[in-house]
Amino acid sequence: MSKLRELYEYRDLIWTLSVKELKVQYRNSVLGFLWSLLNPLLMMVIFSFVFAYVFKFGIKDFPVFLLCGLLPWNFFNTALTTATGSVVGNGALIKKVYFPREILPLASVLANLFNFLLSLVVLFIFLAFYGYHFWVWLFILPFIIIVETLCVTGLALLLAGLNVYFRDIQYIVGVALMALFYATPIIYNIERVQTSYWMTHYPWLMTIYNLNPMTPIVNAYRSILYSVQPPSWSSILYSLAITAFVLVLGFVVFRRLEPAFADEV
Amino acid sequence: MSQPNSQEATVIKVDHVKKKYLLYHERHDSLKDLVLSGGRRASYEVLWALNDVSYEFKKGRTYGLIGENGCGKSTLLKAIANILRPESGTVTVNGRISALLELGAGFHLDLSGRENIFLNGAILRLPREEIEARFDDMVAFSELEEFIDMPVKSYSSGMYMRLAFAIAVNVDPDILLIDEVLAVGDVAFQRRCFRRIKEYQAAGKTIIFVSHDANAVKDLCDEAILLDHGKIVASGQPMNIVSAYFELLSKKEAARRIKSGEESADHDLSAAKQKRYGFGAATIKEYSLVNAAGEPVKSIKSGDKVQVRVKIDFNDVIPNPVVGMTIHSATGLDVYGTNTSYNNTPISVKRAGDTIQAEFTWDAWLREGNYSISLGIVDLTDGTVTPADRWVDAITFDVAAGREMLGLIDLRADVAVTENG
Repeated sequence: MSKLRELYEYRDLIWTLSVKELKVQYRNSVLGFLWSLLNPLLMMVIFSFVFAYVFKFGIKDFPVFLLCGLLPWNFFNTALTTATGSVVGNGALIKKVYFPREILPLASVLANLFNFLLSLVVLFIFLAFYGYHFWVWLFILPFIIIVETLCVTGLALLLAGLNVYFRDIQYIVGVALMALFYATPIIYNIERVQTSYWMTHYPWLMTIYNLNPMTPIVNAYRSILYSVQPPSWSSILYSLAITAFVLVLGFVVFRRLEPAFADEV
Repeated sequence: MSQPNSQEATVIKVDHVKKKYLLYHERHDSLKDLVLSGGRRASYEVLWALNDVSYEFKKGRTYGLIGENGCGKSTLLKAIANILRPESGTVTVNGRISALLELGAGFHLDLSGRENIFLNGAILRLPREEIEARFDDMVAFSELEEFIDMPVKSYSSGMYMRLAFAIAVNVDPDILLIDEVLAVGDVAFQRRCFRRIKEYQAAGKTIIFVSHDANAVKDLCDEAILLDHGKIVASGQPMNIVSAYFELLSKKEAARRIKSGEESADHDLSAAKQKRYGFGAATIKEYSLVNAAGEPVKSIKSGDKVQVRVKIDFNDVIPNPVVGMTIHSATGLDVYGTNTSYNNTPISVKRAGDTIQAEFTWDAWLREGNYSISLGIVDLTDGTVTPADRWVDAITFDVAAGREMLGLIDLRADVAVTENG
């Protein structure tokens, strides 16, 4: 609890470091922060070409369907990638200045959250263009965003802390995120997995598949925006439970590892 | 300078703090190494950077930490700043700390000077409103008005330091920790640092700083702390502690020489008294401060011609003997010092049984007050000073008031005024 109060006292620094991360990200590039929007759009074009036209997935309005999952995933992906290296990357600072070390992964998450929120605006434009009534259940969306952000925060603390001791973590995270991308219903519909031969014959495979915390989160985004339906409350409850667990685990592990950071980075 | 007073509030309490470093023979930083070594970490040696250190720092006082490289002074500063966590013991701090362990901590080269002011300010815990309020002052102080919106990577190192310093002097903590920051920059820069530190002192801040500069410690500190091998070996009056430091250095030098067989071990080093040290190749037998008539004096008037006489017996060969004296003010400042080498008065090789007398004659154009004189006979071979006998504060004397002035030395300025009409 005292840690939370301390983090609150340091809110200026969290804010300044998040802003710094955003500013530095696209400094020296001509299009600047527009890349935050262009990047998912270009990904959308590529995936749409491959899966809607080459493989003929037969999903209605595939670009919109894809973006509803891809944008939350990109937030998860980039936040974890940058946060994992955040403590090690700021080693010089850690050796010379005191501040709650949690600030470093937190600032990475916040900066990427900002990019994500910005990209949602583009998604809304797309949805409106395709004639989706995405505003019907929109009031639930902030709640989903908060759940995802907290889940990302927990994982970010865990990975950033462990990476100080084992630099392999950042490489493992890269590969694991790629695997998780395909294990999350982003480019395909979850029903396709649920009705597949393997999943119906071996239900425990489905259990493993469902452990992925991003699955219910991506599904919730997609229900609200694409299907224009309230999200499945049972799966939201499940992701809440996972988020709480991950968040506590992240904070506790980070706190246990943090005292020796200045010696190890 | 204020005397220690037990009634002053303790702002930092360092209580039996131990901090160790593991010096790995090889590092296991990856999972592969960990797995291959069967879960054990690599073999290592333990180095105690802080070994059971306890100290109470009082409010409003200035402390200097001195000691050799690796003695633990920076580690102590980092433990107080909460950057390092000790293995055992506690550090209790009452008040807001700013640690200036590095100027420009967190500067990002791609960001402009303006952006870095806000970034570094936030890192030093300056509230945003305060940075905004002082922004123009900072820019003016750093003399970077034209460059403030250019990325810091285009700055020269001098510009970089000026900007970093302009931000650093604006921190407003209760406790200020400074690590060798004074050592960087040119003379003008250092003078600004000193002036700023004096302002902090006047404002009643508690200051702890690490320095290699014995004069800075003597000039700025109320109290000095000497660390050696992670332990506090002495603390108290800066002047005494600085001489204890030099004594420690020369003992170590002697021990090293004995070990390497350069010097016979029959000089009893432990006999070295406080304030007097050396290897004993020569001994200061007699010394005195005399007036123009050759009579020993304790009190003089400003401007009196006086002479310091030093008689030295040699017990061993000294290839290049140098005799010196240094006058100190009551606050420990070196007012003036000279020696036979500086004055181009070479002394030939001396052997056991030889005796010399050195005389330093000077006009004591000093401000009124108490002064002391340290004497020394050293060997200066190949540019290395090896003290044979050094006597700190051997002579004390006081100077009666001359004409009114500021400072320590009367430079006897001629003052002329031309008035119209």
